[in-house]
Amino acid sequence: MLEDRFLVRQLNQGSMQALRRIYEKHREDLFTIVVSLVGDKHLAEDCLQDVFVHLAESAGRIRIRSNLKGYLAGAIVNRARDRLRRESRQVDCPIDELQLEETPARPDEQSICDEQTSALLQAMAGLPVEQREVFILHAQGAMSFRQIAGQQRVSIRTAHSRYRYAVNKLRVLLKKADLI
Amino acid sequence: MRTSKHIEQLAQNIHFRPDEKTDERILAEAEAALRKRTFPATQPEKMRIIIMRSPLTKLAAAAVVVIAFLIGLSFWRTTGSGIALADVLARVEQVKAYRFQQSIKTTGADPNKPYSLERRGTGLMSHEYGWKFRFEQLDPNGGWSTFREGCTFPDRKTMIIIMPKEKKYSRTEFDDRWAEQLEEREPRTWIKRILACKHESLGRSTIDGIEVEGFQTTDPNWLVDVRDKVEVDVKMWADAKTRLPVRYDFTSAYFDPMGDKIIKHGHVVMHDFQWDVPVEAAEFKPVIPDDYTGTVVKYPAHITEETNIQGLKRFVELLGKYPEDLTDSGATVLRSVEKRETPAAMRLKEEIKGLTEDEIGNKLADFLMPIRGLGRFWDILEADKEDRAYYGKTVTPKDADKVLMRWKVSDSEYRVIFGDLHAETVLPERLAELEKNLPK
Repeated sequence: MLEDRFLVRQLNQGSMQALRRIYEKHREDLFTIVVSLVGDKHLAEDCLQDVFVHLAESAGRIRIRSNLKGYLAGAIVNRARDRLRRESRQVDCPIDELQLEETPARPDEQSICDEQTSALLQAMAGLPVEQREVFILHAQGAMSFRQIAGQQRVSIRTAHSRYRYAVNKLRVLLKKADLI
Repeated sequence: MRTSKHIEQLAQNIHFRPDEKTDERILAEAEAALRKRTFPATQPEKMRIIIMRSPLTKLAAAAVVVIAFLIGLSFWRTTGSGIALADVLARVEQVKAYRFQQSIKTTGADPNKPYSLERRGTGLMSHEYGWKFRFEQLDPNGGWSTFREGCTFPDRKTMIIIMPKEKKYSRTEFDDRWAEQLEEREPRTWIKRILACKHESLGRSTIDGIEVEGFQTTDPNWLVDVRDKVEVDVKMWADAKTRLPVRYDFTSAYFDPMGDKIIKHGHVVMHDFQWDVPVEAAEFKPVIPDDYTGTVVKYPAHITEETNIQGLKRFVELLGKYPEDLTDSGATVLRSVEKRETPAAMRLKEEIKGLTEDEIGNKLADFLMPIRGLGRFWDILEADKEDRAYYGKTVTPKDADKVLMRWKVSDSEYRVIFGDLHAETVLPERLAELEKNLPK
C-alpha cells in the first residue's frame, strides 16, 4: 500500500518509471476483472488501455483516497460499463480466446478446473450487471464492500445484498451443470 | 467447504493476463499521454525542514498557533466527529510522566543484505527525571531476550545503555543537537508533527474497549529527516473522553534510489499508555552488574567545522589516511588502530598499557571524541539539506589543492575543506573547476 502511494506521488511528478511500475503491478488483476466483466479479450484490452491512458493524462492531480488498486478497479469497471453500453453488447464468454494464466494443477485436475472455470465465467455472464460487478470486485478484485459501495454509489448493505444474490444465482447455475 | 466459499475460491483462481504485444501497446500509449503533460517543479519535501530548522521560524510557527487559538481559527477545529488534534496535544503537554509499550518490526529487502528484526519494549518518560527503556529482541528460534535497557538523561546529555547479552554497558555523552533529536521520539512531538502535516480524521472507533478518535497523515514531511524516496502512514488514536493517546501506528517504506522497490520497511506501534503515572528518582538509576565492562562514548559538545577538521586530523594521525566513510564508528577505527604502526597509533597503544578497563575506556573515549564528531557533522549537513560531498576515498593529506569535503553555505557559496585540511569559501563555478580535478 505504501509502495502504491509512493508510485502515485512519483507519477504525479511525471515519473515514467512509476507509470510502468503501476502497470506491471496491477495489469493482471485489472485484466482479470475486466475480462470477467465483459467476456471479450479485445474489449478488455481496450478498457485496460483506456484506464492507463487516462491515468497518465491525470498525472499531477491524482488523489487516491483509499488505495490504488481499488481506484484502478473502480476505473476499469466504469470503462467496462461504458464500453458495453456504447456497443449495446451482452456479455458473452468465449473462453477459448482468453489467455488463462497457467495453474499448477495436475493434468487430471486441470480439466476439472478448466470446466469449472469455464462454467463459472458463463454463469457470471448471466448475472445482472450490478450483481456481476459486486461479485467480481469482491471475489476477484479483493475489494471491501465499503469500497464497492462507494464505487457503485450505493449503501454498504445494498452492495452486500447484491453479492449475496449473485452467489446464490451462481450456486444454482453451477449445481445445474453438476459442477459443485 | 461451503458452496459460497467454494464459488469465491473458484473465482479467485481465475487469472487472465494481457499478452506481451498488448502490454507494449498500452504502455506506449500511456507513456505518450504522460509525455504530453507538464509538471511544475516543486519541492514540497524540503520546505518544512528548512522552515522549522530555523529557531526564528519555529518561534513564528508557535506564535501562529497561539494566535490561532486566541482568535479561534480552524487550527483548533474538530474533525467533525468530536475532538481536535490540538486538544490532544494540549492534554499531552500537561502530562508529567507516562508509561507505554512498543513493538518494532523492521525488514530490509536488499537481496544482498536481507534482514528482519522484531523488537518489543517498555518505556517510561518523565519530564523531571529522564527516559527509561527496555527492549527485547526476537531471536531466530522464536524466543525473546533482553536486547538493550537503559536510561537517557536529557538534562545531563547522557545516555546509559546496558547490553545483557554482551555483558557490557556504555555511557554516551551527547550534544545539544542529539538532545533535540531525542525529543523527536516523544509522542507529543509526533502529534506536533502530525499537526504540521496535512492530516485527516479516521473517525470514531473502539480500541481495547475505549472509545477513540483517530487521526492520520501520509505526508512524508512527518519524518524528521525527509528523504525523497519514502512513504509514511502515521495513525494516532486518542481517548474520546480524556483526549490522551491510546495507540500510535507508524509504517514507513524506504525505496531504492531508482524508486523501483522497497528496500526497508518499518512498523512501530506504541500502545498501552499509562498517563500521569507517579515516578520516583530511584527508577532512573540503572543497575549495572559488577561483572559488566563499560565503555564511554563521547561526542564534542558542539559540532562545528572546526571539530570536523580536528576529527579528520586525528584520523589521519592514527591511520595515515582519511576515512572512506565519515559515519564509521569509533569501534571500527579502534580495530584498524590495532594493526597500524603510525606514531600516533603507537603512542596510544603505549599510553593505555597497564591501565584498568575503566581507565582505558575513558582514555579511548577522549581520544576518539573528535572522530565520532565526523559522523555527526555529516548527519547535520544531511539534515539541513546542505549540498554536501566527501571524497575521502581518493583524496589524501598530500592533496593540498584537492577538495576533500564540501557543503553549501548559501545560494552562491560553498565551504570547502581541502586535502591538507585548510578551508575556504568558494563560488559554485570555482567548485566545479576544483571537482573536475579530483583524482579518479
